[in-house]
Amino acid sequence: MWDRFRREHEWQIRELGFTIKLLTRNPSAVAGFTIIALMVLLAVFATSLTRYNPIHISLKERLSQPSLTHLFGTDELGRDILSRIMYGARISLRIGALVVLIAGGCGSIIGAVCGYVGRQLDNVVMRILDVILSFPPLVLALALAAALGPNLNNAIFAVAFVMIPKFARLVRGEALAVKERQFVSAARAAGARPLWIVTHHILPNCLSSVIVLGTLVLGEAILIAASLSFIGLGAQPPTPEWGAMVSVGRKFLLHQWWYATFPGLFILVTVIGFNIFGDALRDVLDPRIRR
Amino acid sequence: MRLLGYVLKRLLYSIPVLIGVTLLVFLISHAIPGDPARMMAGEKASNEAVARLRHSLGLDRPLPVQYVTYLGGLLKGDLGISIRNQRPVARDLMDIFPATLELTLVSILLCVLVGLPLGIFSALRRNRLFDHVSRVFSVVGISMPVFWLGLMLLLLFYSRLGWLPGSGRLDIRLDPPARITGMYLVDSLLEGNGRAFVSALSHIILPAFCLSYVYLAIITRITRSSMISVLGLDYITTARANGLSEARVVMKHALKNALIPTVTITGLSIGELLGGAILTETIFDWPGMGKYVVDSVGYLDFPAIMGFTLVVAVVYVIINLLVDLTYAVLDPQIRY
Amino acid sequence: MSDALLEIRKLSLQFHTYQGVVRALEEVDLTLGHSEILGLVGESGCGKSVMARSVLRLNPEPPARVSQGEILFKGQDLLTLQPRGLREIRGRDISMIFQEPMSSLNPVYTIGNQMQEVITLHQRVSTAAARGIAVDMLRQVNMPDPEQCLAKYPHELSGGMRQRVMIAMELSCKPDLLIADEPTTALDVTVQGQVLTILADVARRMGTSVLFISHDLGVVAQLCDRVSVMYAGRIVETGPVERIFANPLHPYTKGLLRAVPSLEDDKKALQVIPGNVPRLINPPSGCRFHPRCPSRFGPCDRVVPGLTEVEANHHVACHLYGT
Repeated sequence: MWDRFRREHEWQIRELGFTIKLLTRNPSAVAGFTIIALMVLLAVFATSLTRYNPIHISLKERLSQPSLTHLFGTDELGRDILSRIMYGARISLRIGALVVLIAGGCGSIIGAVCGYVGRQLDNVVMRILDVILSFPPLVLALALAAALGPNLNNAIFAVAFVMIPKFARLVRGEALAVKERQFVSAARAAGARPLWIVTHHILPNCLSSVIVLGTLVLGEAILIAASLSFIGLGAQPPTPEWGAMVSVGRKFLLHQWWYATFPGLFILVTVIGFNIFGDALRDVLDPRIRR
Repeated sequence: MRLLGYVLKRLLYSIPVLIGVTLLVFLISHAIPGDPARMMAGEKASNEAVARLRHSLGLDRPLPVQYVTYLGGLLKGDLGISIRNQRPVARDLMDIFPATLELTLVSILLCVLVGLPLGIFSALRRNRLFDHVSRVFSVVGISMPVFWLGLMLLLLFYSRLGWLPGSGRLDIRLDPPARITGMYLVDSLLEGNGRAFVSALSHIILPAFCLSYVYLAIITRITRSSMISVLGLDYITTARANGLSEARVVMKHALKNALIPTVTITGLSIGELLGGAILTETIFDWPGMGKYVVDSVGYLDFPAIMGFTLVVAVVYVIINLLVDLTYAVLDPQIRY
Repeated sequence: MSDALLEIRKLSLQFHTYQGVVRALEEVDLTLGHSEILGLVGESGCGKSVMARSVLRLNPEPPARVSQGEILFKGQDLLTLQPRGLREIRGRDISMIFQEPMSSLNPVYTIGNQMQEVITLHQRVSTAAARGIAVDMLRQVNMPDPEQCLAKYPHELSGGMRQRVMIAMELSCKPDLLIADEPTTALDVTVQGQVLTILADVARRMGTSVLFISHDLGVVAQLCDRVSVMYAGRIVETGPVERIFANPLHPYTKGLLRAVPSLEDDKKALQVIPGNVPRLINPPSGCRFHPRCPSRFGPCDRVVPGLTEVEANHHVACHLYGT
């Protein structure tokens, strides 16, 4: 059965192999991927990497400086900050992945359908998306998160909502181009139903652009979610989300600088990783570069 | 003449978008869990009292009717009453708007004055050290958590070095200049008040830099890539073949074309800066709209939050309109 | 010899790319006299455009490198000229028009703006006088309503009109030499004839020499006084137009002429030259045409043939005629 899959998708597998080869030759891609992989490892193996329980309170150690026992110091309840940061990686990556899945999924379908069907539906839906895009992303996410209630899941939904138009616009553009191509006309002439054409012809051709956008949006989502948590609208204490940690750390900035510095640093590095990798991926998948 | 037609077309298009914006804000307001009448009346009020209050606020009418009432109120400038201080939200926002405007304008100025030359030089010295450094700077810029940057700036320049103040718009011991525009830098100059000007300047540097950092990076990137594309085009070769100096080729022929995407992004950035101001103003205790909304979040002051959201969105739409029009002025091909 | 307007001697140019060194031009010899129209013919990819751009040194210098040769213009070697001197020559003594009229003009400035810029750069005239010159040139290229044209933007004109504007602009400073790099290739066939006629007329009237680059033999036959045939970065044959067409010497030239469909012999199959144009990263040894040459023999794959004069002013680079 695996052989049949291999045969049917031989070309795609070869293309994938070629892409991976190009990526390994691209220094930015390697750098970005390393960062992402590092964060994923931290998240997955957080429990085994640290002997500290991130919610373990030890008041006599509160607010201690970075040392050999606590590499990044401790917070106001004596919890080890490094451990909390590692658990925070789980949260941030989960936020990013969920946002991309939701926004990417919904946005792509909306975009593909609008692009393919066109006419009135396209007009109306594009206007609606324009309205959503008329808000600066953080502002709209803030309003939504505030209205729905301050918790992490609402924040994820709010950020995903704000990101949907990006995917929709991208896929719509590609759909418009793809639907003019001959294999689509051929499929239609053979009597294929529109839904089948959209899923089997339109969407697969948009895949590489969506993946690139998804990578970049992942980083942006982590950033916006952290900002929401910083304001108090996302993750709530004692959740060790990076933005929330910086928010608390702010109170202790002047004398216990490590508290706000390290979680924020991790946000920065993680998002850099996704951005660098996404850019490199875009370059590698560019049909002109691939010759 | 074509330009005029294009302007009118664009203006007309903005109207449904603006209506859509108000509709979206209205719908979000109605997603808020909890009964607003109950919240205003208080826990202890009787059910009849709450029902009477609900009726007087028009909250028991069908949704479309409520929307129309809402829209009517907007056109009169009514954004609701803040739960926190019982003042009209519109008044609050008008009071503090100049502070945010001042911060945003200085940030944009920074972005353009630093970002454009950086982007142009990067394009001209492609793949040399300067270019690599500014590309790193760009990536860091768009990945930067603004709130963290602000804190780090405070840590360095306020706490460790003591060079710059850490909060507010003006030295506490000084009186703010007479309010003409509401922007301390402008007003103090108009008044001839040197000390206030210097103080205001020193207070605005860190927040403006913090706010502009992200967009500085974006503008640099866009200018660089746009410049590189344009420099590869045929008409640039024509200009060189005609004997024009390299300076002329770049500054006259390439720049106007390359600036088109830059102008678009700059315009959009203004709108985003209004949003990003949320975080910066909070960090630096800058008494503007951003800090206002964050404080409102703490109190769950929904009228204030929604009022802010609406105002920012409307400003953003207007700015986008202006950007499109500028685009048409720069690029004659668009007017059709 | 020193009577020639443009003399290119043994010009060799390479492009240093990631894939390797592309030997684009190899010991190119070219001569152009005063008030003469020379055609440079060859297939796509043979290096004609590179050659054209080399005269004014428009190839971007980092990837491109001239390894040897001279480009003598009125006796002066353009390759050793300082940037300032080169800029003075560009547009004033030597002008160039390009293949793509759609993109050769700056879309954000008016025609008048762009033309006046070139005129005032090279001639000491006032803006008003420059305008007058521009209008006059546009009239010479048969532009309908020249004054109106000055206020227009490039995208408001058709391809043929844009190319005429280019001709007007490039001839406005009365250069001694005009390099025309496939000026009509991107135009509709009906417009091609118009533009070519205008180009030839104005050039002859002004006494300007033209280096006319094309892959279209028919056009070259109509327009040019002399022809040079180029293959894979080398000049393989040069001579007066009538002689080249009546008595082609080089096997490649013969192949080119045979491949042109004829209206009389419509029963015969088109004769193509077998094989493909070689990639210039690793060009064939010896004579670069030898892999495809029907008359190939002994020395062809080892020794590079030089240009020899076979009849009056008719040179060929082929071992068939003695090295």
